Amino acid sequence: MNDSNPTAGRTQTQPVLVIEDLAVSFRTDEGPVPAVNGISLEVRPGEVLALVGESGSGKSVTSLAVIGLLPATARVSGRVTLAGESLLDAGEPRMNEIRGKDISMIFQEPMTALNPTMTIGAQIAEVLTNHNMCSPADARRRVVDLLRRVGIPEPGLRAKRYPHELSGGQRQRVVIAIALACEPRLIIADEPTTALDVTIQAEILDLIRQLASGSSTGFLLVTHNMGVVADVADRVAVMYRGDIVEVGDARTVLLRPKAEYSRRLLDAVPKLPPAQWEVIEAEPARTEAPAQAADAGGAGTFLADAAKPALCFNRVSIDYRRGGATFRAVRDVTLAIGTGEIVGLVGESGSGKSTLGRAALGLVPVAEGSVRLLGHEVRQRLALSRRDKQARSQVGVVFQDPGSSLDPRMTVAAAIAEPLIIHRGPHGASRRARTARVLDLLDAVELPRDYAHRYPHELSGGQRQRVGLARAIALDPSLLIADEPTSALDVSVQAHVLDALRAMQQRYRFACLFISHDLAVVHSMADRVAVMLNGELVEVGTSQSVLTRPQHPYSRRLLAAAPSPDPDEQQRRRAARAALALAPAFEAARG
Amino acid sequence: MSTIPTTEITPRLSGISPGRRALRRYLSNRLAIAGTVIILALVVFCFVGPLLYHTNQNQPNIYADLNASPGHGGHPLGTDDLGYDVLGRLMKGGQTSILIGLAAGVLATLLGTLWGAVAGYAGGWVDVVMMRVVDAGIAIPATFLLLILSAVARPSIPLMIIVLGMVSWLVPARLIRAESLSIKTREYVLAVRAVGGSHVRTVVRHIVPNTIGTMIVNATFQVADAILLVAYISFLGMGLQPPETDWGAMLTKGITYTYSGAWWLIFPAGLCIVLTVCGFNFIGDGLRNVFDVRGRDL
Repeated sequence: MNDSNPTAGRTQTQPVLVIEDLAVSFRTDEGPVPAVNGISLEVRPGEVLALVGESGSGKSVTSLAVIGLLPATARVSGRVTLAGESLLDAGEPRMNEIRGKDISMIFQEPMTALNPTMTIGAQIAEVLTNHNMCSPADARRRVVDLLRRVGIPEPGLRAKRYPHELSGGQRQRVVIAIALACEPRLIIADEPTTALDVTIQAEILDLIRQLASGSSTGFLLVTHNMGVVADVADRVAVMYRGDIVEVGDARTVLLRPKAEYSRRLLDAVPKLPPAQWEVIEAEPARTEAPAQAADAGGAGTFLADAAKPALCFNRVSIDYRRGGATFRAVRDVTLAIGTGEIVGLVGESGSGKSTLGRAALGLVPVAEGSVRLLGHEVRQRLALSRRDKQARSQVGVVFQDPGSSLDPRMTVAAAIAEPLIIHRGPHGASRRARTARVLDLLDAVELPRDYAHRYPHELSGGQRQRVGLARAIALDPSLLIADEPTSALDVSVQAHVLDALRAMQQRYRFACLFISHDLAVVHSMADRVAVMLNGELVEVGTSQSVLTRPQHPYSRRLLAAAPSPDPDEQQRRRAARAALALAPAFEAARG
Repeated sequence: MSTIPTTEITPRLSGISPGRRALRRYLSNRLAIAGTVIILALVVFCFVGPLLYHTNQNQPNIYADLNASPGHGGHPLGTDDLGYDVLGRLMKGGQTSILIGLAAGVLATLLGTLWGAVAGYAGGWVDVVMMRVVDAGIAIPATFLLLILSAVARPSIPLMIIVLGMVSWLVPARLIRAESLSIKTREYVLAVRAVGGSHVRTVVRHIVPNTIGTMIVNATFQVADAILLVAYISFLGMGLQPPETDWGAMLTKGITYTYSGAWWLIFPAGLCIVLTVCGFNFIGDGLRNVFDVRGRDL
């Protein structure tokens, strides 16, 4: 990161973008709401400036103000100057010329940023011809050049493909190619990798880094992820509630933050222990059959043979059927979770980790093998028998999305009490017992008791997740399934929710299947870790061993791609990434 | 990383309850206010009016002037062909129209909501069968069905309500099914299923309450439609039998005697029908605005 950051000569160059005293507020039903309170910033040519902050900090609003795409309810003041031209004074027709030509944007979700009915070549050419950059014939040639520049193999052929025929990472590369098409002075990338898996995120960040260094284009990178900052940014501006609290060299800010808030933010980011790259590179990759790996590192060794597992997957396969075609989402997974043990399940999207979690809850049918919850077989059934119901009362679940995990038309108390009503257990017998239990649970997850009468929309995301946690443990379960419980939350809030979960686990000693894509979070929670790839378990072992000395090439790749807020560690991972990319075994394993 | 003060931004409550905010948003729509005023005025007119303005609406008065023009002989809106006072008749007719419209609209909405919610939630072949029933129902023209029924049976208010309800639940069923399909994949529904909650509980406590926006907005349109349907049937002479009446029946008579020079007879009933239907539609639009922004702050 810092090696590609030539400090000499930068001071002489004119900044591409100068923001002075920019303030934005929104008109709402309840009067004006300030979003950005007078900030000043510069982006220089060839640098990546990261604008970091949590949700509501005003970072996206700032980027939209620059490109002039704020909704009509926004009031903007201050000065935004792009290469000497004032953008806030430019009228809409002029802004339209500037957008795409002088400033372009990379969006978060590549699938929705591309038009599904046009070939990618046509979409890139459209930008060129819109701005009269060249003739249609020239445009075709430029398209191929651009696709090659963003690292798309066989660019001539791919230009004729539609977005759905490309992978997520390739789609984001196409979005970047569109942004690059007119050689803009400034590219705004708004959370460009948030919707992508970590290994793909790493590739895209490498690309951004490579494009920025040595070009005259400035990058304004909006992100919430400190690891992304450490990976690609030259300078960082930390935003908090509409103000910039700190600006500086990325390395300095990440290693020695001055502002109180930056320090808190960095402290809240869960960190992995330094991986033993020397050992990893020395050891040959181990890729034996996944079932054996699961047996060897998993169920057998770690659990005391006397201990009865809380949850046991025995050669489980799960199929999805869609339109006649069958897709095997999980294949032949064997995994046991001991009483009171936390097992982390990591993998990228589509690896089948959530499906496995849902199988344990009886929400998806199991095609082959068996899932046993405390010795009782879990099945998806139309109507539950009494024994099934009894078994279900032993398991709690926390889902990912705080927006949809609670019924918007139920109060917090009603949501927490629902499992108690369904299973008339010791706590659910009378209304008074239920109320008492609900208040106990609110105390346990550290929410004020008067929140019982609130509705979910009156709570923040982290508070909702804690209500979800309270609901999950309402019946004193022996097993908790946490499916990405914090991935939709800001880091500081994530730290709170994880603390609450850890405290609950220590108090009630339930077993936990902790599903997450974030290795650092898993490391901070789990005793053992299982890695999934394409529906198979490729590696199981203690957190410490899997997350510092992974054996399987895919686990290694995953670890190398995980972003770390420590610039030095990040640099080592970048080097490891390059080394692993050369290893051919991985591509074969990935299929 | 354990003791960080909460930097999270909690939703601003600013002392306004969600109900208050919804009301404010509803009232910001001028047409919605107009609709509400119109409907309230008509309800007061039809149900409170007869207490202040006494007329005999059970027996024809053949000694009075028939088809008298407005203002003649102490009748503000004149009389009809049987000597009934038109103003009083308008109130009585309005009572039946509004009653049938409201009851049929509510019945259709309840039936449609339940049907659609179950179909969407169950999915698979249950959904296919249930929705083909709806498709078949929509293929039969409602007016035609009503005409046959009123020819077979003697029309009464409860019968009209039931029949109208039975023909107009199909559209809400479709709307609610679509909504149910999306709600059933939300995590709070999965959470109930995971903890062993029954299907009945899931549908009644979680799916149906969350379709309330669609339900209420659709109900207002259903009421307007039902009032129009009653008017059609009566207009074709197949509606309620005298001395019962409704606005549609009054309109028919008006048309009959328009050719004998009593042109004013069509206006009171016609205007009332137009106003009611517009009023309910305006309310529906206003409510839709209120519920549409749900994603933003709920």
